Amino acid sequence: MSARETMLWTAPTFRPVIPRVAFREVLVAQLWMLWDSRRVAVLVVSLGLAMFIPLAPGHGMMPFLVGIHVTVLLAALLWGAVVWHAQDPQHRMEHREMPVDFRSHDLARVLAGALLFAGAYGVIAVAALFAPPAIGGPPPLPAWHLFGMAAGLVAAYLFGSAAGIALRHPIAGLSIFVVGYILLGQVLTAVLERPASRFVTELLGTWGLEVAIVGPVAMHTTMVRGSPTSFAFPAATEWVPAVCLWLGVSILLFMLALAPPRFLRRRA
Amino acid sequence: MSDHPLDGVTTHGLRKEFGHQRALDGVNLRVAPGAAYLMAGENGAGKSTLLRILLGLQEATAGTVSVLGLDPAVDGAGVRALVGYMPDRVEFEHGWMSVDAALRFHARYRPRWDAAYAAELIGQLELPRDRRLAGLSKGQRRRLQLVFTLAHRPPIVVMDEPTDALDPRMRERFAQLLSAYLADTDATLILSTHAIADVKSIPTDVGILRQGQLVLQCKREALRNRLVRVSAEVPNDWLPPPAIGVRTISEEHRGGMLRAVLWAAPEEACALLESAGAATTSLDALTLSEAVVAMLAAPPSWTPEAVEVEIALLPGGVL
Repeated sequence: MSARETMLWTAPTFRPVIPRVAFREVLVAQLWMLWDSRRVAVLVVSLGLAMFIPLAPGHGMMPFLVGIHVTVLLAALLWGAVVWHAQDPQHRMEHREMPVDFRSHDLARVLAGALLFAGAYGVIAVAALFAPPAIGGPPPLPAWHLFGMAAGLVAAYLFGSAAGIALRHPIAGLSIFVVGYILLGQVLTAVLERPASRFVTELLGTWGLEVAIVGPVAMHTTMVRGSPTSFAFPAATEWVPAVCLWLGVSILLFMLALAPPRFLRRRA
Repeated sequence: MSDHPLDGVTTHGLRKEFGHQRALDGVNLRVAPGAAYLMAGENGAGKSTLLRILLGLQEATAGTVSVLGLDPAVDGAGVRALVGYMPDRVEFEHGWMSVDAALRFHARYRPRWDAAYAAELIGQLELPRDRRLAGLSKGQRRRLQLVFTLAHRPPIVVMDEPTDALDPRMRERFAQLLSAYLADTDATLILSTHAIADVKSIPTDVGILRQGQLVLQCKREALRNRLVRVSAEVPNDWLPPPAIGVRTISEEHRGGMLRAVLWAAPEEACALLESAGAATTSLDALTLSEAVVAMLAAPPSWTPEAVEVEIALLPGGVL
């Protein structure tokens, strides 16, 4: 733009034409920034490690994506937080000063991270698709379970993102949450006697985090003389409530992190 | 959006509180389009807070803000798209980026990014294009911030301590580049700085912020015409009459010599002193920097409005 154009643009008789940036451009900028920051290395290393898990003893009897699922969930959780590395809420002014609405800008970063994760996971999934099936191996993964796995991945990534957006030390925050959840389960199981045990069963069982994580990929194995003879995936009803609950919790936490209500906002 | 064709930057009754601490108290800012407004004040006076509110980076507790007709609390992104902002901090959050990469990153956010102008500024400011941001010195980071601020040719430029960390040669270069930009584009500038001497030729308007209150806001010429440093010979037992007392911002009275800074036109100050039995020996206009220092050193309750009220209440009017 020439100086003359700028003068016309800024002249008092002209209303300012606001040079707004399109969300697509912001998303591309965030994608490129994440790539350039080499944070992607965390993604490559964590998913790369997951690739080796099926090589461990016993894992050969599972579908490849099932075998790596829990590790991939952890990678999604970690990646959600790593996307905000070095830009905790107290060090995010440069991000804030850009000409983008705060929430849209945060969302663009989260979407960019999700796209990179999906890309990396997609490479693994496609590789698994073309891998030759093992003779006498596991049954094919029902499509319904793929939805459960995808929901788990989304929930894990949203948990990680919420921590990354809202917490100064997201990895520590996530660790405290996981350890706290396990301890709570132990304490409740140890302390509460019947009839409260039903409550514990519901809270930690049917609706529990563990069920949400491994439910869609847990396999019922029939053993005869110490050897597995048949495999079956559990009915969806066994894990759908837990997956739905924790997906809902993750969405809620993510929304609160993205647009905190006034009483939760830090003193601005 | 306001329909007023002459919207610059205005605030009305702006208040900002941090808990029980009041950072801004009823600020009525008026920056006309094309003005270069110097915002002066001591540390903690509320300058940076005010600038951040103008950018929509902080919420005001009360009051209204308008930047080119936009309310930053409603359309902060729109305001930031129109403003070139140079913050007071010199750290970059994306330290791994090279200077070139950071320029490309900023260009993506600015549809009106002028790559040729950015390249010219990079050259003028002697910045290494291939070095990582984390490897830049403080002064180099400041200079790069100037490129980010101006290269999208904003109609409003907001700068918070822009010459901080710059060496004397670069301060001069900075002032030259900023002056050239303002002359070239007729953009509006709001500049907060303690180093007034570095930018002395730029401001057209001056605002003094003291303890969260805008105690003075006027054209630079008005300040020059209303603020005068006088030296006068006075009798040993001389006491300033009320007409001089209310206009006195600072005074030093030693052994028959009076040295004072008065809020009065030079001829008015001279007439007042003569009528009070003092013999004026010198009468000087203050430089911008001296004027700001004098205003900041004024008694806490001092404001031009208060002076005018006190003058009106004096017996016999002005004199």
